[in-house]
Parts: sequence; C-alpha cells; structure tokens
Amino acid sequence: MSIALTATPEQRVLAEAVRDYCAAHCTEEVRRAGSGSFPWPFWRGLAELGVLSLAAPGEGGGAGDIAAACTELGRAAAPGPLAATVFAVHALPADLAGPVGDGTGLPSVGEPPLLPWAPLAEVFIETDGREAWLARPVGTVQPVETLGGEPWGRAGLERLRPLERVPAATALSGIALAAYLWGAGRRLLGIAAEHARTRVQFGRTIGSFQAVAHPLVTAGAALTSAEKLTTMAALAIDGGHPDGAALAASARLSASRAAVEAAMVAHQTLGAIGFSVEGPIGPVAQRIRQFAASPGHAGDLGEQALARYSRKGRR
Amino acid sequence: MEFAWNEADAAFRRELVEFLDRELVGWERSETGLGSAVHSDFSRGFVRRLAERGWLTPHWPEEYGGGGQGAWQHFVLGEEMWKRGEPRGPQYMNVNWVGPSVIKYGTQEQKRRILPPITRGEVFWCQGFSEPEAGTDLAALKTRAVRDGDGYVLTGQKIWTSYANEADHCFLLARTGSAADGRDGISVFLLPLRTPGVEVRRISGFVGDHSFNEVFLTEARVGADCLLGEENKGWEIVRRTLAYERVGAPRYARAALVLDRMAERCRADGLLSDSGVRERFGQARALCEAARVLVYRVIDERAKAKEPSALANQARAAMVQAERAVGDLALDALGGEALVEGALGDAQFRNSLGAGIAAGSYEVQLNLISRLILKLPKE
Repeated sequence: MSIALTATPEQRVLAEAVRDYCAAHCTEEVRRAGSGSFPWPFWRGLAELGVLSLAAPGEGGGAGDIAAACTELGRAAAPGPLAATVFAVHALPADLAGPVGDGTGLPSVGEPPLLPWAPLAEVFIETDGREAWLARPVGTVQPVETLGGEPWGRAGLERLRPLERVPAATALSGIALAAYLWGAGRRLLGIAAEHARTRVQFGRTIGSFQAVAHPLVTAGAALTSAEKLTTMAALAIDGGHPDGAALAASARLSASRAAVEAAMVAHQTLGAIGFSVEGPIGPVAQRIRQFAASPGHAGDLGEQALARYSRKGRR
Repeated sequence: MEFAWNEADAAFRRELVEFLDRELVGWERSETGLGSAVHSDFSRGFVRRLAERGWLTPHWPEEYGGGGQGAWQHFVLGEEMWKRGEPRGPQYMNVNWVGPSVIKYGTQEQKRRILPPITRGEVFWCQGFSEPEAGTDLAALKTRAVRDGDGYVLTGQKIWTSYANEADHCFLLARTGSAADGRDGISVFLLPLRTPGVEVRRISGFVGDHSFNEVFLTEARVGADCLLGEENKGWEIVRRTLAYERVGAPRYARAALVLDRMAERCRADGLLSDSGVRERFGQARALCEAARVLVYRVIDERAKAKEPSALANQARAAMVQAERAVGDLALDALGGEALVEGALGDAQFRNSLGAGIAAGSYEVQLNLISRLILKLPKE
C-alpha cells in the first residue's frame, strides 16, 4: 500500500474555502431552511466557489475534489440537493447542465412517483441507478414534507431522451453522498463528545461512564473507516481504476451506516435535548437518516458493492 | 404455566376492540394513525366515554371508582390503546401511576379529592421530574419546597415535561431536605398547574405531536394537603412510579403493528421474496415478541401484588430494541416512501429515537439489570 489516503494540497485549499464560506454563510437559518424557503443566496454562493460544477465532464475537479467539498458541506449540515447536482452536472448535456452548475436551477433526480426536490426543481432526471433520462413532469407536482426537511413531490415523469455518462455520474454522486454523510456524522459526534465532556450527572462528567464513552468511540471508528473508504473510492475514480464504481457504492453504504450510528449515539448522549427542534442535533440526524435511506435504487448498492467481488471471482 | 388469555380477558379484548373500532373512526389521521398523537379535545371526550363504561380505571379498587379488575385487563387496555396511537392522550399517566401512587400513599382526603376526577376522565396530569441539571441523575434535582406556615412555597424549574401545556395537575418532585441529603431529601407534590407562580412554556420537538414543556415555579404557594406521603420520603414513591412507567406504554404493541403493515406493503411490492428482507422482518418480529413476553412477566408480578423488580428494566430494554429494529427496517425496506412525513418509516423512526431515552435511559436500564440480575458490582 503506497498511496496516501489523504487530501492533496489542492483539495485542502478547496476544503478550506468551503469551510470558511459555510462558517460565514451557512447560518442556522440557512441550515434549517425547509420547503418554501430555499436559501438561494447560499446556494449561488456555493456555485460561485465552483462547488456545484465540480462534476462537469472534462473540466470539473474530479471525485477527490467532490469528496473534499461535500465533506465540509456535511460538517456544516448545509442544505440542498448536492448529490443530485453532482449527478445532473455530469450526466446532462452542457446547455442543460449550465443552470444547475451555476446554482440557478435545482435538479430532481429519482424515480417517479416520489421525486426529491420536485416542487422547486427545474430539471428532472429519471434514473433507476443504471440508466437515466432527461424527463419532464406530467401534470402538477404534489408537494410532500419529508423526514429530513427536504421538499419532495409526487408526479409522473415523461422521458424525453436518454442521458450519457450515467455510471460515472452515479459513482460521483455516490462519492458526494458518502462524503456529506461522514462529514455530518462527524459534526454530530463532535457535539455529542463535547456534551459528554461537560455534562455532569452523578457528580461526574457523563463521558467518564464507559456506557457513554464506548458507543462514541465505536461510532468514531466507523466514521473514520467511511472517510478512508470515500477517499480511496475517489482516488480510484480519478485514476480510472475499474473498481471505482464499486468502491463508490461501498463508500456510500459505509458512510450511511456510520453516520446513522453517529446520529443514534448523539441522540442517546444528549438525551431529551436531542428532541428539541431548536436543539443542535435533531434536524441533522433526520437529514442523515434521509440520505442514508435515499430513494429509488438505493437497494441496489449492496449488489453494486458485491459486483466487485463477483467480477474478481470470475477472473 | 398458561400461555393463552383466559376467557374473561379475551372477551374483554373483543368488546374493547369493537368499541374502539366504532369510537375511533376519523381518529387515525396520518397514513398510519400510529403517531403518539395528542388531540386534547378529542382525548378529553374519548376518556369520558371510556370512563362511562368503567374502562378508564378497571384495575383500581372499587372504593376509589375502579372496576376491581385485575392487572391483566388494565394491560389489555394499554395494548389496544397504544396500538391505536394512544387516544387517551396524556391520560395514560393518570391511570398507570398517578392514581395508583395516590391510592398507595395518599391520605383519605387526597384520595377523595384526586381519584374521582381521574376515574371520571375529567383531568389530565403530567409528571414534573426532569430538570436542566437533573436528567438521568434525578436525585440531583434542585426545585425547592420550603415549609411556610400551613403550606409550602415551590421555586425551581422543570424541563421536558410532557403534556404540561395540556395538563391540569403535575405530579411534582421537589427538594424539602438539603442538597446533601440526595434522594433522602425529596418529596412528591400534587400541584395544581393553575397555581399562581407556575408558568408553562412549550419546547418544539419532533416526535409526532408529542409536546414537551418547561415548567417554571416562582414562589408558587400550595397547601400542605398537596404533599403526597411523608416529607423527604418521595424517593420510594418515585421508584415505584418509574417501575410502572417503564412498562406502562406497551410500545412493542405498536411496533408489531407497524411491522405487520410494512410486511403487507412489502408483500404487495414483491419484496418479501428476497431472503435478506424476510430475515430482517423475522428478526424484528422476534424482538417484538421477546419484548411482549418480558412485559407480561412484569404484569404477572404486578397481578400477584409483588414488589416491582428488575424485570421491569429488562422488559423496558427489550422494548427499546424492538422499536429500534422496526424503525431501522421501515427506512431500509420501504425506500423513499418511508421518508414522507407521517409515513410508517418517518413515524417509527421518530418514535424509536425517543425509546432509549424516555422513562429512564437505555444505559441506566442495562446498569440496573447488571447489578440486580447479574449481581455485577457498581461501576
């Protein structure tokens, strides 16, 4: 093993820029923005930083940059259809990808009838995880609220034409989700650890109880392995390695599991505080659970990860 | 050993189910109707109709307006209510442990004053235990009750007080001794929430319609007749109360029902032909059944008038596991539809998050089990 699973200097600069931007602009109000109040200025600011067009074919920053940026967005619990944007920018023809990459039009990527971000979306992409089509909604979009506070909608779709680069777009959006999830998980774990260091019960800080400490440690280890797997998958994709797509699926599964675990542990550590809508973890935990259970073809992830091994077996 | 319900209990359940099917038309508001919903107007009317049939407090002695029935009938009632999202609203607290505590520790005057409105379904009670600095470590509570003439003056703050905004009275813990006395300086007060100096503020939470509140007490003056039991002897009452609370809400009954509805949907979608999915369903079902028999053991104990034991902690821990397993499966198996607000997955996930915290944290249950059942030393 001679490849370092750490960020390149360029990725560190990008991560720092996103972190600084979020520190200044991802306010509590932006973070909580639900349906009907999409934080457009924040989203366009991300576009100006180049974050929303990182996946543009040929000119984008590649999987490593996507991972670096999305991790920071996860840490900041930033809102918005990030993974869908990555997918759309990579798979759409340049004229249609433009508005998505410059933050003026939101994409909806999914399978009817339940479509993420449909009430606000300007571009609709139908995908089953293998193929994807540019599409348009049939009839009116009926909005629904979701666990993670995202505005989704019900509508039929009419396929207009098939899109290219779908496997690569799927892998890149998998990287974006994986990176966001482990970043968000790390945020919650940090809050929980801080609470465990300072909250006193029975005359001791609660972190001195092993029943509190050990789950935090275990969740941290899972997040670290998800982080490394995400980095590895991004390196494989950027290096054109044949395992890239399968590793991206593994990274997404691993980060989903780790982030959900971190969310559960954070809730258990903070107790009732976690249930307050104004509290520091509730809405983030719900968004994590939503991303981890992402709709449509999520059930195929295990198969995609397994495909790597069956392919090897056939060799 | 007898595994089946006896004829009287089974007949009671049949009659109850028929009544509920009739009464609760229109009550199920979401896709599932399985949220921990409280619509206080509906609940206030509904519990009066239950009371008319003697179904609010069937397990209480007849002299206090009860039906003189056993603990099992009361439990059948709890299962059927909980399955339907607890249409009694916060009333389950009254019937599970507020009333029983007054029956056991109250004066004759208190019993005459407090019990009849509960059996008639006219009042809601809430539980004023947790404070900002006293959560799991309940004995660290700081709310003070200072003796003043023929009464007490209460000052302090409670938090996470479920349904305080709906309630008429609060089963309140306050310190009558010094802080150094720990659990030996705590007393129980039966506080009317309309008392001057009591202020309730809502906290927005995300578990269904479940309401959390802060309760601020600023020199609220109550009579000595509000003290339950002896001064400084409140901890014993609390221990008993918590034992009732731990299994008072048969959460597995709702989890099992959620699981059944999920299975129906997955079968319709052809997902149950997948052996991986089937195994998850089987495991979750087994956890619900395990919780059920462990809770039954606690009810058996109660029916035989034994002292509450660590079986209640074991049952509670099993219920937490069952709720979590069903919540996880709902989100994994039902795809995007599970995420829609009010859908099975969304509701069960929100509920399962609270399972390991309400009525004593999961970790505390495990600690008690390790000490009391496995006889392991304290940390």
